[in-house]
Amino acid sequence: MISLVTLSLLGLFSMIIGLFKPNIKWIIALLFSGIIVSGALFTLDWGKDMTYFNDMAYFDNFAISLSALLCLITALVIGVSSYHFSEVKNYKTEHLSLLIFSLIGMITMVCFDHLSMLFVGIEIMSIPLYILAGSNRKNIASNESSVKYFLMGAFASGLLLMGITLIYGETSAFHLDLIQEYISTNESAKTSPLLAVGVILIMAGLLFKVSAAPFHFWTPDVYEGAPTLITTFMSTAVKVAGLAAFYRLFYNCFLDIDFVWIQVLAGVIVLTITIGSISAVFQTNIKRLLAYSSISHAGFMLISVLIANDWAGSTILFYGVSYAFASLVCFSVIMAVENTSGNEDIEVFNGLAKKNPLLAFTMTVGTLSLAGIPLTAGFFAKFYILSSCIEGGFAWVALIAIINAIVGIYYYFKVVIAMYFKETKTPYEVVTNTGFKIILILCSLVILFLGLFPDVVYNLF
Amino acid sequence: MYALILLFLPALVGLICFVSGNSAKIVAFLGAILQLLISIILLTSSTEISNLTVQNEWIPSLGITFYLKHDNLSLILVLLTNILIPLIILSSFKNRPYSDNKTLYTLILMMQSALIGVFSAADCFLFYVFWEAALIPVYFISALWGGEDKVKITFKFFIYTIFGSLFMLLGIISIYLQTPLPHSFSWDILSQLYLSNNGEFIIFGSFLLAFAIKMPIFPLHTWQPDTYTTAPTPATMLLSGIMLKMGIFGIFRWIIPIFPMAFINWSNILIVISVVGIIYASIIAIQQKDFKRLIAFSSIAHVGLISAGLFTGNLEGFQGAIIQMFNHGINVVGMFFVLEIISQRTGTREIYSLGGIVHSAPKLAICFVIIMLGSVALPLTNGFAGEFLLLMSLYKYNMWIGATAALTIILGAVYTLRMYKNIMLGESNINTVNFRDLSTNEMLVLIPICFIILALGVYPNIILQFTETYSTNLVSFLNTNSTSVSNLLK
Repeated sequence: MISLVTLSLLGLFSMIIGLFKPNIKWIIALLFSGIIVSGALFTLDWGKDMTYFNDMAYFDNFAISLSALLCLITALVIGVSSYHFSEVKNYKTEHLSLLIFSLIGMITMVCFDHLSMLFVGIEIMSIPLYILAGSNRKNIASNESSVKYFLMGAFASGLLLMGITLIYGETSAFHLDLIQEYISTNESAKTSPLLAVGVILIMAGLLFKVSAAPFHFWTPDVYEGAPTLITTFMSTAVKVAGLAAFYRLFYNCFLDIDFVWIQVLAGVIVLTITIGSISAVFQTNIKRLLAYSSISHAGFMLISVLIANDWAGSTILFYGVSYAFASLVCFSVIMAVENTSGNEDIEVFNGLAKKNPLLAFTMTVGTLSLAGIPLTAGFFAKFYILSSCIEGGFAWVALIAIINAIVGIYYYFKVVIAMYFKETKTPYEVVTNTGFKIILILCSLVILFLGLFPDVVYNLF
Repeated sequence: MYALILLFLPALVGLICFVSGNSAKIVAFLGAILQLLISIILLTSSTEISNLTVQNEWIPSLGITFYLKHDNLSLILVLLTNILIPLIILSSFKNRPYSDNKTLYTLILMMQSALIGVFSAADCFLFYVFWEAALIPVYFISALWGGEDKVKITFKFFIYTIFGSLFMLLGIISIYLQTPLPHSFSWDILSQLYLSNNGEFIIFGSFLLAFAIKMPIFPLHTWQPDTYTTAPTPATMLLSGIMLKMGIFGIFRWIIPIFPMAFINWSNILIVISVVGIIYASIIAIQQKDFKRLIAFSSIAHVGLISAGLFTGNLEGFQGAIIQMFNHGINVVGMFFVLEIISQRTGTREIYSLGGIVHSAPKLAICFVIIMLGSVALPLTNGFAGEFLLLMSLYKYNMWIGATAALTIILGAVYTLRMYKNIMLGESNINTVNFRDLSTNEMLVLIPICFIILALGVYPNIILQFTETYSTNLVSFLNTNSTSVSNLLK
């Protein structure tokens, strides 16, 4: 609770300090540590199951650990932002404050206990992102990305709001536990068309936010057009927050009417994983490739909503951690390479291993983790998902998921092959600074450590 | 304790190699020799095999343990690995593109650790981790120093094997979920499991797919000839000498104890497929002009015979498969090394553009002859005992299948002897007239190989005796399973 306040103050501070044109390095360092501290402050409530704002926010261990994770990711994104500011010259601190406001929205999304909090959280998260996606003002692709994201996002918010009103119409409640109580006690709720349509509409709105098929069309364009720093943020923090909100809502409210949505969700998952990984095969632009692969990962994470067993929360947290760190590493390396080469094709990575072994190695760790190769965190993430999927009776989903994991290995290895086995064509130097290197090494170590001892995160709650 | 040393020593030496700069190859070689000495001491001393068991917690929430357990079969394969790795390291000393590259030796030693892990893991999850870990180093060796089209061909190999192993992962998860709570991956528990008929077959299939691709069994062999031809010789040796044994070992260690019924029920189909593979690969081998490719196809034929004998499920089949695994590893590594020497000096791998090497290189000719005879299984060479046992088991199983499989001896002689004749005998030509005979370094690799070929040819009992109880137990285990089911049916 106190950390939400400190985060808001940090955001306001960085917005106001922009008037005095400070040295951006110091602001980055300050915000980095400030966000880390606020993330740590969340853990003060650990195990206490505190509620705030007239029961509208509920900090159980799931919400706390995800809030801390989101703070950590945002801090790391801000930590690697120096490349962004060599491209974007104006309004530097304002960008950082928008990132922080978006983070506050995400924290609201993972701790909500009231549907209006969910909606407000999503809006607080999205509106700064619409601006940030267009933050490279001179670049037409960035502008396109911003407008596209805004129009699509507004549409999704509309669907979500419609769903919420329909559910209120049936249950006359906004609180998650009241809705759950109504559904479990009233037989008529099971056949109510109002509720069914409401649930499906809410699902559609949330699927939009996590870019699951068939609502994924905005993702590649927006990810490609937005500045890479913002893409990093969108594909890590935003995605994890969206999935956590999805899980929280469906696990707490709608398990009793799962016959309405469970087959739909299974279909969505299969479609998402397949479309994501098949489309990624044909990409030559690495940001588009990772965009499609992130669609596929969203499908994997949705499996734990589908199964919704007692440890689905842990699975989401673990998948979120492993996916976020791996993506962060990959996108940071892309930022460094793109900064000097001015190009995002996979070919730019040819021979990176000779040019800069550290970048190539960390990128390899990241891609191997995303591909789910053993001894990286990504392997256990996939392992938990697949075993709960088979256990929950969706073996056919697991089968399709594993086939797509093979396809995934194919396209992720294209990057590794380019870095290690191909000769460089374009001469360019990669410039890195110490802080950037430290963050990359730390993230890689986290990935490798969780690949050996996944229990550290998995057994948190 | 010994098991841990065997497992981690190579990886440790590999790391030392990576930071030791110019002396990397010496460090690697000494480390590998040390490892060999340890395993020989272990085999000759009276250490009980049960002392080699290590069991520790690893990931408690999933019931994953760090569980290593050796039996007589795994010790034979560990010995094979530890004999071959120093030879492979020594054989790369003078090969120019990679001889001074510390990365190569690090990767070879990492691979050794992973292979020993595969042979000793008794926790299915651990086994899977080592199984995948063994793939990465050899993939990097092939893709970094391979020949023409290396990136594309090694990638095909990589995806092919990953394809198999990910299905095995699904199988592992499903069998894990069938263990009593709390779930476990331990071999001890999995082998006690009673599986329903249908479930058993599907999971059996997923394991078999991974193993069959690795071996490779016809018709899943299509990655193999290209990869063997393109990969640099150290990688080819690793792949054919040791890595392919992972598949056969997997059938012994995991498939037979866990899925005895599926193994018995499907054995006849698998035997027929293996025998078809033998004939198919032999006929293709006869047509080959590139000698590396020829040996690649001959390797498919040899492995086909091993797997056919193994699937018969009788004592001769098991014993023959075990000893032939060892022999094939030794022979094929020797063969690839001889061919590497020839192609390095003449610059060609074309059989018909060579000839007459025997005049200028008598030492090479003698070593080559011994290795060649070993691989066509002449009596008094190591191949004979193995192939004899395997053919006997097939003959016992079904006379016609045995007779068809025996064609391998004739066909094998055709392609191997013809290759020898065309390369070594006849008139010298422009490619071969200035051929330099073996250097000391090369002699050091080939003499141990020839010695093992002859020694095991004269006295194969060293290995057969060592594994006899193991094989007998396995056969009686299979028999009790099949009788108990036929009793049920009555």
